[in-house]
Amino acid sequence: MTFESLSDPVDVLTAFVDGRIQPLRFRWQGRVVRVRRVTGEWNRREGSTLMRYFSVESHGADTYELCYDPRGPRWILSRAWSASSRKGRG
Amino acid sequence: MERVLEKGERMILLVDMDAFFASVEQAHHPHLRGQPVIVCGDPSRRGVVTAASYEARPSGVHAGMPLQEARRLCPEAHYVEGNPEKYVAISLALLKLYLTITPDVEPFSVDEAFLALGGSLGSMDEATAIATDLQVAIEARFGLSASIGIGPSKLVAKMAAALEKPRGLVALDEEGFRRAFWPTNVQTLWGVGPKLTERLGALGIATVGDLAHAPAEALEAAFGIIGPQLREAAWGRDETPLVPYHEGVDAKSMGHEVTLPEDCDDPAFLEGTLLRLSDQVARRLRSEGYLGRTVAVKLRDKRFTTRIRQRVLPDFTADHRAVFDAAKTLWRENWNGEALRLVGVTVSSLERASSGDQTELFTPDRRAERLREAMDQVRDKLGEASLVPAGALTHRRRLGHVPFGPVTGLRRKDRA
Amino acid sequence: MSDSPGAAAPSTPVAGDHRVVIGTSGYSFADWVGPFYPPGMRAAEFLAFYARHFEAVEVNATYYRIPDRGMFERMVQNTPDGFRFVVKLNQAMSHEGSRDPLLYREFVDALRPLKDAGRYDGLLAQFPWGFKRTPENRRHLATMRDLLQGEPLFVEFRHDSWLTPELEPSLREHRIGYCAVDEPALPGLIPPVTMVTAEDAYVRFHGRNAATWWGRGGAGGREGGDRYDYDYREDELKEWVRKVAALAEQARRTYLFFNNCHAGQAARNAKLMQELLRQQNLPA
Repeated sequence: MTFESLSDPVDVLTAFVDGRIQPLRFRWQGRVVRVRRVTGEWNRREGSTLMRYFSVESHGADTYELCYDPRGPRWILSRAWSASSRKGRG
Repeated sequence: MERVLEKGERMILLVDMDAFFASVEQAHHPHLRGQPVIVCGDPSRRGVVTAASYEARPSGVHAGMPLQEARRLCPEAHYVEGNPEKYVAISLALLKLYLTITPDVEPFSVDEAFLALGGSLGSMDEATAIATDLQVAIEARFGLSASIGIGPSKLVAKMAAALEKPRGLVALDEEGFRRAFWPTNVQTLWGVGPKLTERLGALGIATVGDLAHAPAEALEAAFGIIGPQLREAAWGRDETPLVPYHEGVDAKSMGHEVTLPEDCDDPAFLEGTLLRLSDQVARRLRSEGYLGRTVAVKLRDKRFTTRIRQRVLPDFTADHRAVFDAAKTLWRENWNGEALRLVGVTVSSLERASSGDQTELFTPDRRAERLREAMDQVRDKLGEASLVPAGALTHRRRLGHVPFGPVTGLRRKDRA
Repeated sequence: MSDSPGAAAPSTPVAGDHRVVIGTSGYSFADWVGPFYPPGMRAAEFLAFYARHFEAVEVNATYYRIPDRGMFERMVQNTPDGFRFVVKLNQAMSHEGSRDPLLYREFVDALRPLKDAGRYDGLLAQFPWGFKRTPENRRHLATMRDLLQGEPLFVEFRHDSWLTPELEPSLREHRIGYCAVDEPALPGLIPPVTMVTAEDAYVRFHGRNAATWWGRGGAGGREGGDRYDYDYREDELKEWVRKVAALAEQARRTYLFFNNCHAGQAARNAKLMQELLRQQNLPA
């Protein structure tokens, strides 16, 4: 079983509260995915830009990795994992 | 300046994260918990295992094994492409947590750190209590498990941590150390690799206990200065200092300056000197993985009057041309023609550079290649360098002290 | 890029300006076991223990014998990253007037392991009281400077004839760092003036044992005798705090080395000084 590695732009409903970025839900492949919780956060610097990464768990126990690029600003879905899938696409 | 703890009053902890990379992925992706997880480069390509979770290990999978073989041994494992930035970010956050316990924290690798406890915290009971609390805190905050070794020296703490993984908590005084390790093969001693084991074997020394009772003169004759050190280590004695990392001391700026052999007012010579200094600073920035945004020039004349002028660049850079252009302009604008005795160039407002080129982040081929490079770097560095925090920055630092001489030639036990 | 003659001069990486670096002159003394080194500690273990307490050491074994690379290799191995060395020049150079280029070359060559590891902070030339300010001696100093071209060099004078208005500009011109001294206030001895004549400042504390200073050891005699049997009082060290602060403001690094080596007093006084400076929020 593997992850899907992607670089799909997605629309993410986001809350900016207390200086933090909180992805709430997003639309991908025609479905709306609701974020149940954020399981991890990390950053990577590209030149003068700080890219923000989040691993999130959906209500269906699927997990995703989202990347927030402040230059757009835009969100990108960089990895998707379906807990119910048996085979992944590379 | 490190605080000094008197021998006998200090206790060392070695915190060693269990199956670190794999465990981080399990924490980020909760449905992977309790499952065999293999962290690698691009799973669709030929490659090797970077790290395997404990659930995968019974089938014989270990770091360094080709993926093909791993798939054969453990077909039900989940394959996850590794992401070094993730692991580094968590490593830094862990160090921050350790610093709330004691200022004497020395990162040893991306997943191990030494902590020194002194004063009233320096007893074995206190240290054990603290270690227990720390294990709980790490689990609660990060969803990760750690094994902790406790002892009166770095050597003992490190070896104790390896005794019961995962979630181990082992405290050894010198007597406990002897009971645990004297019967074991001499290679279990930290710092002793296959070559050294062979040479000790040739002297009839097979176990740690044998080494402890070998005549010091014979060891010195065979191994030189490390001979007596080996013997001491076999008794659990190790004076290796813990070199704490102090936040804010490193990497706020990088610069080079030169005192000219004679006071000089020749513009061509001074410009050539600025060029050389700019090149040196830029090379150091690049080799340590930094970009900077502010360039400063220091000019000291023969009367010791010193002028420092700086300017902020439009973007972060580690390019010597950009640094030199700014330095040259600053010098031209601020030099009154007086003979100078010292010239310096400094770059500050530092940020960590991304690993790799500034190309499109998400093209699949480039990403895979960059990941592979970065993964190799992280793995290679595990034996040689420690990643150290400075606010949001990381700064590779050479290992302070490893037993028995220089690092090259020593094999760390296989981990991940 | 223009091929500048200054390409020969090595540049210094800049870090942590205005630091005060404290240590002792020498570390390998048998009578320090007990007062400083734990009982039973053997000489081979001294340096590693010392390096847990101090950031730098003045190597004085080189005064008695010309070093080789192996000696410094071992010192680098026994100390952590960031621990720094100032090396005392051999007595042939400072006390016997040697100007033999081969001797100087051999000495400098031995320093390579320190330089490669980035732990080298320079050389100290300590002249005896009998080295007065004469044209001959001034030439010797200039020649010495030439023979050690490119090396950071600190110079300690004991005879007060050197204290003229020309001293400061002359040292500055020759890129020589002045080593201030704390010694007994006896006639003929240099008073504790300070001056910054190079990028780094330097102070040596010899103790104030006026009674034994001119004793058996005599001017220009061996070090380590009763002359250096002195335990500084806190108020005596406090006198220096303001001076050290003034030096640290001007200099890149300010070195303080305690040479009152009898029975570990240097180490104890050095630690006391560390504490006093920290109380004043000086980076030490």
